[in-house]
Amino acid sequence: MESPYQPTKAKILKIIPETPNIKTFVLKPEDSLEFKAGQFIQLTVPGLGEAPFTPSSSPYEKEKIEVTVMKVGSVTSVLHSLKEEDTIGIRGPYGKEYPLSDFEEKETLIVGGGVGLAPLRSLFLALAKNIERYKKVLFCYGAKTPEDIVYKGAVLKNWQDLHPEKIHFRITVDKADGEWKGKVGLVTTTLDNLEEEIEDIQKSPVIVCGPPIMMKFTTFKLLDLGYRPPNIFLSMEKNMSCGIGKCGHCQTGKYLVCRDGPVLTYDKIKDIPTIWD
Amino acid sequence: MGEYFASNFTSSSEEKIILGAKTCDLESLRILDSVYANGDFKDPFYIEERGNIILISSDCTRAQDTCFCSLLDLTPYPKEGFDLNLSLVEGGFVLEVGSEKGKKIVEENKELMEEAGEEQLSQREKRRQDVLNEVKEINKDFDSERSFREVIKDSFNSPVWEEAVEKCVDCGGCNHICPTCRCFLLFDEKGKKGFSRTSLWDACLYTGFARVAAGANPRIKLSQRFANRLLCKFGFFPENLGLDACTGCGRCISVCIGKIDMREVVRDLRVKV
Ligand code: SF4
Ligand code: SF4
Ligand code: FES
Repeated sequence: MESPYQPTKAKILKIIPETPNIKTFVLKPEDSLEFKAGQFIQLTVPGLGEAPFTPSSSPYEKEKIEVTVMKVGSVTSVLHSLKEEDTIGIRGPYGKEYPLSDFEEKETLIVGGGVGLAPLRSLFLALAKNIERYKKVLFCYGAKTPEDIVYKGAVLKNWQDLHPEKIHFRITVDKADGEWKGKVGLVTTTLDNLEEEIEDIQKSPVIVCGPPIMMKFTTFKLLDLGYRPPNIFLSMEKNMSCGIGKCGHCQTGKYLVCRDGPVLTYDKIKDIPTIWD
Repeated sequence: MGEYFASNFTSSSEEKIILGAKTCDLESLRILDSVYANGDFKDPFYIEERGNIILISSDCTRAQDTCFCSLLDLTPYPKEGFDLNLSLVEGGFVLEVGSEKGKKIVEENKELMEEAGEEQLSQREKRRQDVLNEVKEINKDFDSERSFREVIKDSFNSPVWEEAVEKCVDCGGCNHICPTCRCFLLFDEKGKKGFSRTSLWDACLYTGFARVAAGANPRIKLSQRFANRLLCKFGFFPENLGLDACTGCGRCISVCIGKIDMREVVRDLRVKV
């Protein structure tokens, strides 16, 4: 009997070090695995455990799938110790995708903090591929120090050169080093003078991903600026085991984050106690 | 690094009979079915196992101090969800058919049965009412116009939870014994040839249940986890299914080494929320 809990194999084609504690794994799943931007997968190290990740590669990339992993817990530590050519387990995709068609003709704001850039990269690449459908994309990103900027080459240069007429960037670091010539300040400061970029805040969608504290203060600032709760898309990080709505681990208020998320709009979660913890 | 060789989830194709299940047990299957056998992803092992079960339930013949099905508008005798139901009467049982499966069993075993008469049926009715009254009497101090669901819905920040957990030792017994608690954890079991994937029951009372890898925990306090158990049963499930995930079986009361009685907790919530 086919088990919905059973991973299939994926080979690690390449490992790209991004920052001192973040690596990107380029994987080739044995059985093809196609996801939509916003959905997540489970990576498994047999005998050691499993952890959920939103892929960081473009959903249009069919041959391989990239996952950017920060070393934070036991599974991610083991992942960091793996080598190219090793095999791991993968299953998915699970959860709901971003409603990209709702973003068409609109000015889309993306706000990322730290490793929260990983899932946003997948969304960004999906938007950039069909940029003619969107009015504008403003990409705001903050990292602790210049060293902690994930996909540094892309963020600081390649992506900026893609469609400079339609895609704009605001990048900041909490603490500069000698080399850094850009902005210094928390990611929320990238939202100052937002009206210079976004004309119609009332109707615009915004997608936020980062550490809980960053998501909290960013959301509050967005509300102050006039963003509407149903237009604020938040990536929820919750404990998961099954990923398919059975095991109960990700239950949050009346939602199962693996089934109804992992991205939920603020209007849905605003009254759930301890939502930012 | 190890590899997977097989899934350790098994289900047998053998038929099993569950005999003597009570209303509270049958009701809990509605919750489990709604989780494992529904939604975009289904659990094929559960579905197969469940399909192979013949459910022969029975009326309760007496109530315990911990029983409270009447508070949840259930009766100590099953009305649905069984293949066959047994009601004890003088000289034998009244057998009621509840499904096609049950009907078949009756037809195949006709020689063991005879038609129940007026007398048996009225005796069944009387015994049923007697036990129902017994349950109501046991729970008269807990009965209220305001349902569990209504009282618990918005209670997360009530101080009552803090008081309630003074005697709780976080053992998870109430979760594990609960017939509707459905939470589990996937894990890999080491075998001779590699690893196989299996699962074990989990409990939301445990500290790490909702903790994420980076360490954040939305229910770091015991009182929050304790509240979550009841919020799940009377909040999450009603919102998703229109059903309470509590059947009044009272097992969480008998199992608790801290002698915590959820009926008392709900009574306190009624007063203090
Ligand atoms: S009460 Fe807790 S263990 Fe039981 S089903 Fe709900 S979340 Fe799971
Ligand atoms: S059975 Fe009692 S002591 Fe154990 S976790 Fe439940 S409420 Fe706490
Ligand atoms: S991760 Fe199992 S229900 Fe969501």
